[in-house]
Amino acid sequence: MGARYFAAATAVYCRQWDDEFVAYDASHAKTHLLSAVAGEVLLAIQGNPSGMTRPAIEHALFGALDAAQAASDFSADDSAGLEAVLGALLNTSLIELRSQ
Amino acid sequence: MRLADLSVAEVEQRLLRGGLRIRTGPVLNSITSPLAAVREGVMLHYADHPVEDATAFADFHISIERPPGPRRWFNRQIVFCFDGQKPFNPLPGDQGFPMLEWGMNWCLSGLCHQYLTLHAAVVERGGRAVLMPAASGSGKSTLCAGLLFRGWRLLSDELAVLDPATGEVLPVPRPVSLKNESIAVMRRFAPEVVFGAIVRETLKGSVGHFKPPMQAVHRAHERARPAWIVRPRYRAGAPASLQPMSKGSALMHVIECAFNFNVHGRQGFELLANLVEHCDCYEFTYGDLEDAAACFAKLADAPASGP
Repeated sequence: MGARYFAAATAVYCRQWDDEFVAYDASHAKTHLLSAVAGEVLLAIQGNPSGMTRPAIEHALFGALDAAQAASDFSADDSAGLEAVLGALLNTSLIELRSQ
Repeated sequence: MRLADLSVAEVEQRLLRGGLRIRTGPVLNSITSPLAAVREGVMLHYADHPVEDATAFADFHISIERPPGPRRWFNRQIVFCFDGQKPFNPLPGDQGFPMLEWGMNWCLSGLCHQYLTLHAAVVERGGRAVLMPAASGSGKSTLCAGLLFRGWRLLSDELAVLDPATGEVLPVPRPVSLKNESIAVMRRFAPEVVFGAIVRETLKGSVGHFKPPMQAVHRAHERARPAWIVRPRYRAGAPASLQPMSKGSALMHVIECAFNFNVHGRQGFELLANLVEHCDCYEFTYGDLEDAAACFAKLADAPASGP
């Protein structure tokens, strides 16, 4: 089985203010208020049109949130938190899963 | 020419035959009705509005009439017609003027997609507009009505009409609609207010309209730039309190209050996001109109924070 890639849905537009993100999904005509982490994850995935693997997202997220923290510090709680964020973004159809 | 320049007979003739063409902000309405209550309401509330002759192109052809059949005579009813269609159920016969107003709101919010329209009251002072988006029953119309008697200009008590090209609000000054206890509150707050007939037992309870201030009608061509977004909430006995609202929450709220957001797609999102970006956003709770007006006066006196 190949790696799973997370890719942004087409026609999703974001605005950011401090720790709030608002994402508009034009394909489904839905608007979502996202947390800072969810917004950063979405922006990271949007920045990679071909999709991102889970490790690539972890790396991008640590770079975005705390440059001083090494990816090796990623704890089990962080991992569970990221899983929840990815699940929520998949549920809202802001991102989708692809296999390559 | 203003409607008040026409005689009663001329208004009656136009309502019966050619359609009375009244300009309300960006739209020209052609109104037809044989009902005396509609004629009286129009003559009172639209006295200062511009009227045009029967050859002028009208954006909306509206009529309030009696339906065919026995309801013409027994348990009288009325219907709203738009371009010959009847989009709503009939209402009791004494609700002609409120039905006209509700129908005109429907035309503007549901059909004018060259604009993005919000369910919001809008007032202006010193060139800066306050948008008050809120659901029915929040106290937005009462607050708007009170502010009109404390130095603010009416743009609309019900619909914020945004020009997508500029982000400005287009004034649509029309009769201000109040319900139930708000009618007595307003009469105490501003004894000079001119209400038309109070219509009881509508779907919204007792409904009364008052005539929009003349200067607001005369300045209907002067657009305004939004400076504040205020989400109003009436709570009995509460002190006036203006609390900052986050931009994200404000954007979500404004989108919830938009009638045709999805018609505009990405352009609509960018328009409303820019609106929120350039406005100071607040939650506002109030229990007394005088306190509320004082709070808004401080807001207006503060220097502009946006570009």
